[in-house]
Amino acid sequence: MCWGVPAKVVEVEGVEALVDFGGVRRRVLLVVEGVKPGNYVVVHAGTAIGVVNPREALDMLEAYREVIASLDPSLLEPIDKAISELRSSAYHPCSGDGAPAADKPDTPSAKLD
Amino acid sequence: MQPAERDLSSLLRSEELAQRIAKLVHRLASELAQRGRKTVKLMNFCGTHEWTTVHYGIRSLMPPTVELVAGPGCPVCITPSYCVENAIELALDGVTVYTFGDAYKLPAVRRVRGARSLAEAKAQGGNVKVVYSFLDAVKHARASGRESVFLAIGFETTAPSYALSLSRGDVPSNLKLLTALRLTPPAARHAILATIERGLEPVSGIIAPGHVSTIVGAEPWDRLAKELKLPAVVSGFEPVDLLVSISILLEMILGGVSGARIEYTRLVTWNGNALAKKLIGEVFETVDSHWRGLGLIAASGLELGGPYKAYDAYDAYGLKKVEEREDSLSGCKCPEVIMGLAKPIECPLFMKVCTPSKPYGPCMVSSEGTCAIWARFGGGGLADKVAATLELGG
Repeated sequence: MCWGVPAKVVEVEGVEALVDFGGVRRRVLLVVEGVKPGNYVVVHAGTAIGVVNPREALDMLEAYREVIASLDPSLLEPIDKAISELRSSAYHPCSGDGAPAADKPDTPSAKLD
Repeated sequence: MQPAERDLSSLLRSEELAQRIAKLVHRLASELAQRGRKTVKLMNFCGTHEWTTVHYGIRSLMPPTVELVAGPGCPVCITPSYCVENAIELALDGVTVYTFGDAYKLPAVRRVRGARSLAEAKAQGGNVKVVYSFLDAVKHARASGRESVFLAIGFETTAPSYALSLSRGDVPSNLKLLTALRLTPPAARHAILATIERGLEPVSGIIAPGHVSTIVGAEPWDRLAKELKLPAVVSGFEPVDLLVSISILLEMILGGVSGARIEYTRLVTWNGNALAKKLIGEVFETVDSHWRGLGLIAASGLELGGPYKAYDAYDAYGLKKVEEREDSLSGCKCPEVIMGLAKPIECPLFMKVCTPSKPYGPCMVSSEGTCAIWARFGGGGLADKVAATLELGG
C-alpha cells in the first residue's frame, strides 16, 4: 500500500493517463499537474502522486526490483525491461534530462543548522 | 547528463558509500554515548522503510546503542476489524465489494456467517472483486450498475485517488465507500507517547515516511517533532537513504535540534502535493478514528464530508462502527508489533501458526506488515559485506 512504482506516461487524457511499466500498461489517475507524455510518474495504488526525472525513476526501479520480484515474479520481466530502457536512454546524448513540466517548488531541505 | 550524476543509482546501494556513512553513524553514536546518551531509539512509520531495513540488514550495521524500530506504517494492518466484518456482510448479501489485493485476505477478529476475510466470503459465494485501483472500480461499477461498495483503506498516500474521482463527479451513485482512511502523524505521536507511558525506552528520532510525505510534505512532521522535542527526517527507501537519514538524526540529537529535515528531496517538498491536499480537504473531514491494535486516536482519520456523505457506505447501509471492544486476535502480538513495542520474533505464533502463506494476524497479511517483512526477507548481502569490513561481527 505504500509502494510507489515509477512508470512512463504514454498519453494523458484529462485526469487520466496511460502509463507503461516496462511493457505492462495501466490507466491511472493523475493527482499531479502538468504531466506530459514521456514524463515519469510515481504510481501508488493506481494513482500518480508525484513526478520524477528518468534518473530518479531508474534509482527507484533498481531499488524495488528485488521486492517486486519476491512479491510477484511475473513483474520481473517488465521491471527489467523498464530498467534497461532507462539505462540506454540515460546514455543517449539527445535524450536530455527529461525534466518534468511540474517542477518541484523550492524546499528548505536537509540543511543542518 | 554528467557521469557523476548518472552513477547515483549505483551509489545508493554502493558498498563504499554505505561503509562511510555506517562509520559516521558509529562515530556519532559514540559521541552521544560519551555525553551520557546510552541508547538511541529511532522509529520508522512506513512498511517500505522496514522492508529496506530488514532486506538490506541495516540493523546489523548499527552500533549497539542505536535501535531501529518499526512503528505503525502499514494501512492494511491497522484497518479495524469492523470494516472487514461490514465488507464481508455486504459481500454475502450480494453487494459487489471491491478491494485492493492487500486487504483481500485481511482477517476480521470474528467470523461473519462463517467467513473471516473477504477471500473466504468469496469462496462462500460472496460478491468480491479485487481491483488494481479505485479508478477501475469506478469504471466497473458504472458499467454494471449494480449496488457496490469499495473498501477504501489507506493512508494519506491513497486518499487523493478517492478524492479526485469524487470531486469530479465521476463516481456513480451505485458505488459507495466503506472508508478506513487514516493519517500517519497522529498515529506516530500516539506510538511515541505510548513508549513513554509504558516506561519503555523513549523514541529519540523519527524516520518519516517518504510517500505519505510526498502528499502531506515535511511540514506536519516538523510540527510533530517540535511538539515532542525530537528530530525527524523524511527518508527515501534506498539503503543509503536510510543510513544518511539515521546519520542526520544522530547529528540533530547531538546538536539538540528538534524539527524535520528532508532527505528524500527526489520526491518530497516542505508543503507536499498542493492539489492532493486541496482535494482531500474538499472531500473529507478529519475525525477521531479507531486503529486496529492502537485504539481510538484523536483526529487521525478521514471520513466523507459535506455533499460527499451521500457516498458513505456506513450511512447508506446503516453499518456500525464498533470501536469499544477488543480488536485483536487471540494470542496474536500484532497490536504490540504495530506500536513498535514488540518484534515479530517475540510473538509465539510467528512462523509457527502464522506464516505468509497462511497468515493469522494482520501484520502477516499485507506485504508491508512488519511480520510479513521479517518472515520473507533475511539480512542483506550489502550490509553483511559492510559489517564484515567494519568488523561489526555482522
